[in-house]
Amino acid sequence: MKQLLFLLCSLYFGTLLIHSQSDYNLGLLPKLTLTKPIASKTKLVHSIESRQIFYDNTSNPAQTYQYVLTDFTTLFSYKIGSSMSLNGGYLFRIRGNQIVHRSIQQFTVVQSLEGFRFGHRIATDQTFSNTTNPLFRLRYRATLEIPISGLRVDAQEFYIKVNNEYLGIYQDSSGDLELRLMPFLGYELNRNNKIETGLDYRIDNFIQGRSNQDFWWVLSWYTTL
Amino acid sequence: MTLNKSTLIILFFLVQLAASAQVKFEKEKRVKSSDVPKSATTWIDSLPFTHKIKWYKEISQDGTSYEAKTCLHKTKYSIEFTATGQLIDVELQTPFRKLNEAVKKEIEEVLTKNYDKYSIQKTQEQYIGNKDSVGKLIIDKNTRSELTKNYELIVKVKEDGDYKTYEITFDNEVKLIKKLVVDQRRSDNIEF
Repeated sequence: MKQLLFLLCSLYFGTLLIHSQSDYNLGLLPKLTLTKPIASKTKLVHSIESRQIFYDNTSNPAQTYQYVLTDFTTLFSYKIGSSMSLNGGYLFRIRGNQIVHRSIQQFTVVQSLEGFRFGHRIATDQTFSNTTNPLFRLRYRATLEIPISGLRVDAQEFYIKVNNEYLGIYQDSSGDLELRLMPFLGYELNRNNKIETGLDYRIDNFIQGRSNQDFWWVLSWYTTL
Repeated sequence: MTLNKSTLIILFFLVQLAASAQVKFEKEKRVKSSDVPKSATTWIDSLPFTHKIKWYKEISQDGTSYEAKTCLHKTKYSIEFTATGQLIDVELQTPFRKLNEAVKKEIEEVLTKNYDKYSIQKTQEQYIGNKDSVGKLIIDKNTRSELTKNYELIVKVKEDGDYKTYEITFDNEVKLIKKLVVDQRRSDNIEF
């Protein structure tokens, strides 16, 4: 498992070296995810996420602090198996003077194996705003969660989580690819609360044009009511 | 109407399985072998394990214990000791399909009758006995009459429309000994 992780990271960062000429942003991404169980198989998931850039080398001169956007998302989750769910929902984004609407559909599987958990998420989303053409994405994300102590994460224990996501993007009759890699350090306060922090690395315009790299420092709180 | 022995056994366990189950509580932490009672580590070191031995301290509904986990001839072993180093049991992970046919059939019948759907995630053969007999079992993998043999299964089920995970322990006659609900950790940080 460690060798596989190392190989994935090497391939990932090796690929990035090919795109050495690129624009990049450094910023902060705080996120709160609040889950409300409705019944044994259903729950509502609300999240608020904002982005703030501290350095942007695409501007001349390079720009320092700028507030970017806030996302408000609500998803309805329905369990279709002991470890599978179908989720659907809506995102409302405020980006300066721009309002963005996004519809979201997801299928998730979480496998609890000895010593770690592995998750798969396949998603599609459709993004609409009055200033840009509709954007359609197909996404796949793999998540690995490994306890630092013991064979499973218990309350008041740390863990490592790594997300790797691939997004196929279609807009204006052309397609592109975005890659994301997110290594996090997590801490389970109790059964209903987890805090995670780490890097959300994104590279887009992968196929066409000059690629853009984003480095977000993430602070996440997952809480269940 | 007379009932044969198999029917009686199945009826007995249907009643048992229908009864409400306790929630499994278990918290384990990796520890160094120097933190484990010497009587346990000395005995483990005398056995022909070739893979690394990982030691865990476990707090559960049964109390505090130490567990050695390792692998021998492609079989995963968990050997549990009390807090003072007394041997509790040894568990060998076994594919369900490799169990004795009669045992498999009885277990499947019970699970089918009790649950809308089920999926066996893990099967372990559990042996309880003295160190000599357990040691010989580990060396030659032959069951001995002086050892008590049980079967411990982790089963995901659909029951009354709900999805649950149980740890179910049967004795060698496939009678229910224990049924615990395995509390699934929240996975919101993985799904969303």
